[in-house]
Amino acid sequence: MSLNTRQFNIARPIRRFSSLALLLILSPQLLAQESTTDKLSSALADVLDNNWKVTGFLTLGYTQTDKYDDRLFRRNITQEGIRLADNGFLVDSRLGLQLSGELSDHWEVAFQGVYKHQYATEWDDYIDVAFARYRASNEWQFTLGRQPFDLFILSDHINVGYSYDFVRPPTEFYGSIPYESFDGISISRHWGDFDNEWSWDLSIGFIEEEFETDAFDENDPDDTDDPGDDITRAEPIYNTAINWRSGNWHVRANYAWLKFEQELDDAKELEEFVEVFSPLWPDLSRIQSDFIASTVMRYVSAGAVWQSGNWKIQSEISNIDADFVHFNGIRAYFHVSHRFGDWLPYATFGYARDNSKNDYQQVSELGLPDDFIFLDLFKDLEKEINEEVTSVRHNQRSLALGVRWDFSSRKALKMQCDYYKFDAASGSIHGRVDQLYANNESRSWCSLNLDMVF
Amino acid sequence: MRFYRIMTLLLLFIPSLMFAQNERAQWLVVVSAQSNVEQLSQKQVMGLFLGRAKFLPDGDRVKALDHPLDSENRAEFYQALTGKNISDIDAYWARLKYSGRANPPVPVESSEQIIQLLSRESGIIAYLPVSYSTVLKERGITPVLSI
Repeated sequence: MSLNTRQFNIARPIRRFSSLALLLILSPQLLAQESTTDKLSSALADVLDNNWKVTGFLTLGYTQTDKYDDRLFRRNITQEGIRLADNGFLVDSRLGLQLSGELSDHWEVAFQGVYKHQYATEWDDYIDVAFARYRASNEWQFTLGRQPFDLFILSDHINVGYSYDFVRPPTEFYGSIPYESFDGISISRHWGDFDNEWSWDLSIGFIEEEFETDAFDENDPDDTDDPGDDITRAEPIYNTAINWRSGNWHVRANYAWLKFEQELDDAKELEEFVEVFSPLWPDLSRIQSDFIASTVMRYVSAGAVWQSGNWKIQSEISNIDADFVHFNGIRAYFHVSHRFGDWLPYATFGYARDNSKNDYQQVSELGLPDDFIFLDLFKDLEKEINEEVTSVRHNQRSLALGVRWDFSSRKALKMQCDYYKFDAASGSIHGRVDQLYANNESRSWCSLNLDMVF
Repeated sequence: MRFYRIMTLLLLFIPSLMFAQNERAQWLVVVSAQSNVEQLSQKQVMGLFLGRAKFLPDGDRVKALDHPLDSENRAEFYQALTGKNISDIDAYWARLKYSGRANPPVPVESSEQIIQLLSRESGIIAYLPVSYSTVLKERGITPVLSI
C-alpha cells in the first residue's frame, strides 16, 4: 500500500528563517572577532581570544559482500536501501563540518552540516545542528534551535564514526530512528560531583524529515514511491533523559513522546473510498488508521556503559510503542571491547523483535460473490497490505565482530563483519530487491571504514 | 636464614619502591596567577579538562589549555589524570564536540607559552611537567594540584 503524502509545512519557512537568522547573527560576530584579533599584538593572546572553531569529521566506508546481490543495505531508515554490489561506498561514508563559537562567557553557538547518503529534498536537510546555547552555570544550560535528537546513548553523535568503537551503531537498535535532530528548545541540569554526577535533559520541539520504514529500492520499476513525497512531520515531540555517572559507570534512561502528522493530497478520496467500502470490508477503517492516520509513538529506553581500564561493556534496551503499523517492538544490543594499545577488538550482539500482528480480515473471509466487480481490486489491496506489514517488521538478530586500529592521532581504521539472521515475517531494515521475505534467512557482509576528526 | 631475611626485606622493599614511583607527582595543574583558587581536587580537574565543568569553584569562567594534540605530554597527562588511552580521550571529545555539548581544551605550542599565558591572562587552567615547578615558583604561580 503506497500512499503519497504531501503537506504544507509551516516548519520549513521557520527553519529556513532560523538558519538565516543564525548566519546573520554569526556574521557580525565573526567580523568583530577578526577586527579584535587584528588589534591584539600577541600571537599567544590570539590562541585564547579565538573563540571560533571550524572542525570536522569524515568517514570513508566500504561495505561489500560477494554473494547476496538481492539484499539492500542501509544504516538506518533515513537512507534509501541500496544494492551493495553497486554502492559499497555509500552506506557509511559521510563528511561533517562544524562551526562553533563562544560569544561570551555564557553564550555559545554551533552550526553543523553533514553530507551523506540520505533522503534529502532541501538544503537544510543536510544541516544537523544550528543552535544557540546559554550556559548559565555548571548546572544549567538552555539550548534553542536545531540540535541532536538525544534519544539513546549514541544518538547525539551518531554521524561521527571516530567517536564509537564499531563501524556503525547496531542497526537493530539505531536503524529505526527516523530523526537525528529536531528544532526546538532543551533544558539541561547537571548536579552532584564527579563521584555521583547526574544530568537531566528536557526537550520540546518538532521534526520534519523524510524516511522510508520499509525497504525501498530506487532501481525497482514497480516501486513508484517518490522519496520527495514521504515527508512526515512530528509535532510536538517531548523527550526527557536522565543520566548518572559514577566511577566506571554511565547509566541512562529516556522517554520520548512523538506525535506524527500526515496530510494527504488524496485524503478526501481515501475517506470516500473507506466510507463506501467499509460495509463490505469492515477492517478498512482499521487499516486506514494503522497506516495513514496521525499517530503517537513512545520510546522508552535504558542503557549502561561500564568502562574500566581497557575493558568496555555497553548495552541498551528500548521499547517502541506506536499507534501505527511501523516501529513497534523491543530492541537491544550488547557490546564488549578491549583495548590493546592502538588495537581495539570488539563484539556486538543486536536484537530486534516486533510481535505485533496487524491481522486484518482477509478478502476470502468477506463472503463476497465471485462476480463482485471490485474483487480483484480488493485482492490487490490485500496483497499490498500484507507485503507492507511484513516489510516493516524488524525481527532479526546479528553478531558483529570487528577491530578498531587507532593508527594515528584522531584517525582510526575499522574492519567489521556482520552476520544477520532474519526471522520469519521480517522485512528488516535491510530489505530484499524482490520484496519477498523468506523465513530464517541469514546474510553476512564486511565493512572497512576510515574514520577521522579534524 | 640470612638469605631469607634479605629476600623478605627485598620483597617488602620493591613494592614500596614501585608504590613510591607511582605516587611521585609527574604533572602540575595550574591556574592563572590572578586566580584566587588555591586548590582543586583531581575530580574537579577532570571535570574541567573533560568539558563537564566550565567554571571554577569561585564562579569564574575558565578555559583549559592543552599541549599539542599529537604530543607525548598530552597523552601522558590524560593517562595520569583519567587512566585512559589518548585515543579514548580523543573519541570522547569527538562525542562531546560534535554533539555540541562542549569544546576541548585549546592546544598551545609549548610549555613556555603556557607559562606566559598563565602569567598574563586570567581564567586559564593548564598542566605542566613537574620539572617546571621552579619556573612557576619564580612567576608566583602555585599549582592547584599535583598528580
